[in-house]
Amino acid sequence: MAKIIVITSGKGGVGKTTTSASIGTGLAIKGHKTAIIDFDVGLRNLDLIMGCERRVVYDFVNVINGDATLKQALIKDKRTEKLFILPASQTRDKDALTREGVEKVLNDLAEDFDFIICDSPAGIEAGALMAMYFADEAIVVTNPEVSSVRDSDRILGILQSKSRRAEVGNEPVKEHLLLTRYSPERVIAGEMLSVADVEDILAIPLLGVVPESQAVLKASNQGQPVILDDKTHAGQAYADAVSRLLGNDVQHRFLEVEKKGFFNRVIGGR
Amino acid sequence: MTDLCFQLKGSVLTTVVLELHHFNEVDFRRQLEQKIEQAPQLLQQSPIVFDLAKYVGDPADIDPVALVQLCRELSLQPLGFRSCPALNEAIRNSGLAVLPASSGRGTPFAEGSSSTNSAGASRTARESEAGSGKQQAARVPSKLVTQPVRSGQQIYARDSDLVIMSQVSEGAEVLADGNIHVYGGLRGRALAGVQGDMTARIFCHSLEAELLSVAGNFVLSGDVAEQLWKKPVQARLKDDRLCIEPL
Repeated sequence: MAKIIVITSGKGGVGKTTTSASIGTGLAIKGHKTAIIDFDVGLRNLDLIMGCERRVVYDFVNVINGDATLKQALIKDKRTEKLFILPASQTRDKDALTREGVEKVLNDLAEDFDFIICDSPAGIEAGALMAMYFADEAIVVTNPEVSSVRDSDRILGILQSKSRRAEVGNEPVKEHLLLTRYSPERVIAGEMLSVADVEDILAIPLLGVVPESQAVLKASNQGQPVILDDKTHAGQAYADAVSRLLGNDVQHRFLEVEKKGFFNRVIGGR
Repeated sequence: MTDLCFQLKGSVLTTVVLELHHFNEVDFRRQLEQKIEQAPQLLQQSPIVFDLAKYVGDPADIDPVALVQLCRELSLQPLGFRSCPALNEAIRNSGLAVLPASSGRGTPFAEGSSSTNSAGASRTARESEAGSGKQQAARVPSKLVTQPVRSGQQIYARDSDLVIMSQVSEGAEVLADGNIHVYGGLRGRALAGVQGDMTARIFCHSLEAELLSVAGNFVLSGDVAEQLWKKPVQARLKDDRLCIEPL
């Protein structure tokens, strides 16, 4: 029976799709058969970030409407064994997703897969609600910035009340905090909220901290999840997060200002 | 020997007293409608007694019939008039009672906002008589919340206190007819005594609230003294002003 994890945030542009791609890839690398579903109907991005935009034939809405089978729509990732992507439709809008349709797709996937990652759109409307409805766990992606934190708080409230688990009265959705675009230098300068500040406001367990990194933009444009760029701090941070998600106790890295060695300071860059 | 048709008994009645200061139909109607909106049950279920002791101007200018008619249109129940001997004739003609001057004290009733009364506003005062016929409500258990109250959520404890054993996030609202206890950081808005209980209080472990209000008298975060911010405090009404004191 697959575990359904929704990657949500409330605020847009904080790193949900980036995270979905990397966490999905990380889980597959560790040997778990994983599917990543793009719930952002009309504004699909997951296919671009995963580098499979030219192989999209059928999409999520096609499967719900019965125009195609799940097998036909799922795109097998070329780099990572056991990783599959279900892209969103670009020509429709969010009303094309129905609860029954989504439930059926998730149930069908659950038979074969270990993990289903739901990449949620931004906001608190139908698209985001649909992505989180069936979730067992949620990774709330947050930037250390006041509006992102407030929106994440809002999303947490909605998760508590509007998920299937909440409605039926099962154990609540397990919440994780993933802090992205973190910069220890700016925290020390007092310009940015610290990990402790965000944890204080949101009060959910910290899954990981992904430092601000130029590697993320590069990875997006290359269509490669940043976790595969394992020399970079961002990639390593995602790998740590996947490890923690699987239950391992991994110490948090990249929270302190890095002491640059002589050569690094002369040559610069990361 | 015929059966007794009636028996006379003494009784004490709780009423709302409407102290009239000025009367022009448009302003009076508007202001009265506002007050009714704020506390509909109170004003529409209690009988109303007009007190003209503080009327500015000549009471003889008042037309009791028109006044009563207006109030009845707004579903109020005018009972009688007092403190206006000049009008006794007109009052009796209107069908209402001329009541003796009050000897009890009237307690000011909670206003809808803490802003100063605009000129011409009529204040509603509630008479609290010793041994009044007010029923003692059965005890309603406090509403207990153990999870953080998240931004956008609203929790209302009707007829009771509200106890929150976690934080209240910015953008959340917690309301209670009674007291509010927040055993955590209070970052949102807290409104206690929302039905008019002026003895209600708000307690919290860390004051970071956007707004605190007791029975409609509110204080914004900007008005809170620096030394009280993020400290354990209680907020309560003292002489119609909301005071915040360290715990």
